[in-house]
Amino acid sequence: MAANHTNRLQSNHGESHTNGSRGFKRVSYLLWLLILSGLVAQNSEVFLQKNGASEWVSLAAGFTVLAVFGVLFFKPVYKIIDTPHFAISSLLVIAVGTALGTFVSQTVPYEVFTERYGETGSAVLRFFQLDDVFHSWWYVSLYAALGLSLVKISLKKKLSRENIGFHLAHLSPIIILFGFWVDYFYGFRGIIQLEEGQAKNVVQVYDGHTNYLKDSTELPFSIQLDKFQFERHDPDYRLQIWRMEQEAHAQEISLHENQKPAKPEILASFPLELMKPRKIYGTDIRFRLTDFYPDFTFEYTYPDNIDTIEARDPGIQLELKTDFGDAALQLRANQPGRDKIADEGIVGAWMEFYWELPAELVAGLNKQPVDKKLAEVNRVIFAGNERRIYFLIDKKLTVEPLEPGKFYPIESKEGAGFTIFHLFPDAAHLQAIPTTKSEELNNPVAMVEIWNKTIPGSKQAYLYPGNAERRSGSFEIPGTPYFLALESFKDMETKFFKSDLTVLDKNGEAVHQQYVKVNEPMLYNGYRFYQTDYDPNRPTYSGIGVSHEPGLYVIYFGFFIMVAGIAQMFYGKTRKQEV
Amino acid sequence: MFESFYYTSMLFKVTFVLYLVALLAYFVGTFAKGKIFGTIAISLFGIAFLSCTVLIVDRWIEAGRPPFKTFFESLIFAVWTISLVSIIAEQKFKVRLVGLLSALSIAGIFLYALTKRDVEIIALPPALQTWMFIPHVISYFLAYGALFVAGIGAVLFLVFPKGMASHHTLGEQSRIDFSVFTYQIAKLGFLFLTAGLLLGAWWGQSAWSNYWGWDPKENWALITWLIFAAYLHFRNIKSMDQKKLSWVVIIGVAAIIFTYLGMDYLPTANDSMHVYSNG
Repeated sequence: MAANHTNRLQSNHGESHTNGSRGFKRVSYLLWLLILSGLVAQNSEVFLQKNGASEWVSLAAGFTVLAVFGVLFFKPVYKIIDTPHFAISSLLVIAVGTALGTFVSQTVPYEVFTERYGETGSAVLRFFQLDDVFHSWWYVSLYAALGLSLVKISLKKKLSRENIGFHLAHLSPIIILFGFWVDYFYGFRGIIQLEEGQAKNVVQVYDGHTNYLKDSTELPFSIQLDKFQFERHDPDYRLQIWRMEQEAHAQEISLHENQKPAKPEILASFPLELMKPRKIYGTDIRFRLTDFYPDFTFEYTYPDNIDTIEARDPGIQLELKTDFGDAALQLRANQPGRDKIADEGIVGAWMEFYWELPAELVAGLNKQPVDKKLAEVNRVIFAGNERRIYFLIDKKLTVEPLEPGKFYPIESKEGAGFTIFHLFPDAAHLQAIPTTKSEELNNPVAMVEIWNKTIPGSKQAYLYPGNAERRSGSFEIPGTPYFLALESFKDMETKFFKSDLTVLDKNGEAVHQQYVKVNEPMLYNGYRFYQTDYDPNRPTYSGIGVSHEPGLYVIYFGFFIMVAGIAQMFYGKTRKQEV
Repeated sequence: MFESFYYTSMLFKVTFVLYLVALLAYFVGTFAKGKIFGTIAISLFGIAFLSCTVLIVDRWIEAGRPPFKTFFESLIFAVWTISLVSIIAEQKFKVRLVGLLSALSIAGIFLYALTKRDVEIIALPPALQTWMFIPHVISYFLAYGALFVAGIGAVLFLVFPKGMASHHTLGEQSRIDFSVFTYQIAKLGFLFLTAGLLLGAWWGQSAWSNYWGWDPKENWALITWLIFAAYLHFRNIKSMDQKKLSWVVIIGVAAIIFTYLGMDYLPTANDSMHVYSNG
């Protein structure tokens, strides 16, 4: 069976009989001459243009050099151009040329290039056009020669059902190169930068060589940005094990490299599975998630028989409503500093809590009118034992009964007010129970239990992610370099950018409406519109890429017949030899 | 390494161990007499391949997206395609030695993957949120898998230029010519390499409004394509030294590995959009 394969290979390609190394020598000689002509041609063009010759004159001079090469060597080149030696050599030379273009920085600004490779180095590289290989004349000439060879091969080989694949495969690069060429000369790529509500018909166009914006062109219609949206992925919180760099190691680094901060390294992350024990590798430390609160808060409970409890450490638990949102507030009569908040700005009044109102305060409040000094600021005074609230607002006193669960507006500030949750004579009986306000991930907190096989008992820790306002809450395991954290990495990546566009005709009439996203361009009148740019600091800005590529479908057609041709050539049914 | 292994998923651990067991069986199966050892080896290798399939599907479901985003994911997919091509090649050419070398390479890839392990599941950026990138990646990795196996064939040709008796299922002795083996597998690889390259251009047009941007990764994809295109044309020269041809394939595989792993070392890589995001 294996022997059959060998025979088949040798009998199939009996058309080219040129001998081994001699054929390669001739081909490489001619390819080098072609490259040299390309270099001389382009350098003469560059030289003439630098010395004041017009664009046309220098271009013509360059082409003359290439034309001379073409005339002088047409015969020997055309003779060898259909040999496998030529195919192999030109393919490999193009491969080497392409590789050179990845080893040297391409199309960077002149000064940057000179700085990177030095005066002499950059001059030499520029002479060989290695600063822009992919648009250099020698590189493009190689493709032209390869294309010519493909034309000759296709013309030479008789078309039959059996070699249809061969013809498709060898014609397709010509078709692709043709499409490429059409786009290069007749197409453009550019960008329209828009703010929401703005309409433009001027496209800033990229230079085909350098991808820098060079000039602009006008579309026969305008593009209006109706709306731009930008969204990140939903967060996916996971329990994570991290390790700080070993201390000794960290110190060593700081000695050598000017105190580089120790970098934590993430070791593992787990989905939020309740009660599943996890182990930290190399230790006997285990932990598990005991609870997860998407929207964490404390709920306070207090015994119902409030009257029978002695007033040892009285206080009140409130929920404040302010312009800045809702906040839990606890005032405690016997704890200096926690017995009042003096912030008229946010709440509209000072808030003070007493179990028994002091005598001088009672005297001041009972005066008619209320004591001047006392009324200087707006006050809400809670009297715990007598279950009353004194509102001293704008020098006027009103007294209301203190009722848990009721909402009290503060008149001096629109929208401000409070609800009383609990009034308690002894804080020791007040219990804070962690709970979640909703199922939305507004304030995610994970409670984990950490234990060690050798030590009885366990530790509890609250973990929460960091955000713009606060550092993340992680738990450092004492005596180890490890810490546990709750974070999400998923929402760092953008979910989508989306621009709603309207096409306006010359009279400003809307003629077409569509949105564009990355990978979902809009095709209108032979122009394609892409979501290409955004600015995190300008939420109403969107950069719409515009391209006009008349050769695109030609190229796609070339792609298709290349794959189809190769498949037929290798595995086509008309070839009987396959076993 | 052990720490990394400890934190990998159970499916990863099982797959890795199954491949190690298959490798061991191949050692026995290649050198021991008796057809049964070879059959056991390829069966175990097949089981490991199935486990790898489950690993990839599970990852796909867990991540909610095709698992071709990170370098680690791509290494696992490379293992999958190398296994697939190796099994097909071994069945077609009845040669156990290729399976041995594939299993050995796969064990190496697994060890390397451990140092590049993903701790987190990363979401896809908008450009990758399209089905268009799936055929591109699958074509490329099938091509890479096939050309890697062809590279193994090329190395074997250099070691056994006169060929080798293959383990025939019917017990007949026939010889395998590794240059033919290499050519047949390389043809398959080249077809997928071409498809992958062109599907990539097609997708690039929709994502970046550019089917070809002379990006270093694109250029190196072109270079590997050119090398293998040249290799296929070498077959038309009768007097060609087969040993030299094997070297062309080996250079081609080296170019693939450089395309896959070496982009960070290029001065032009800064603006490449293909360089894998996690180091």
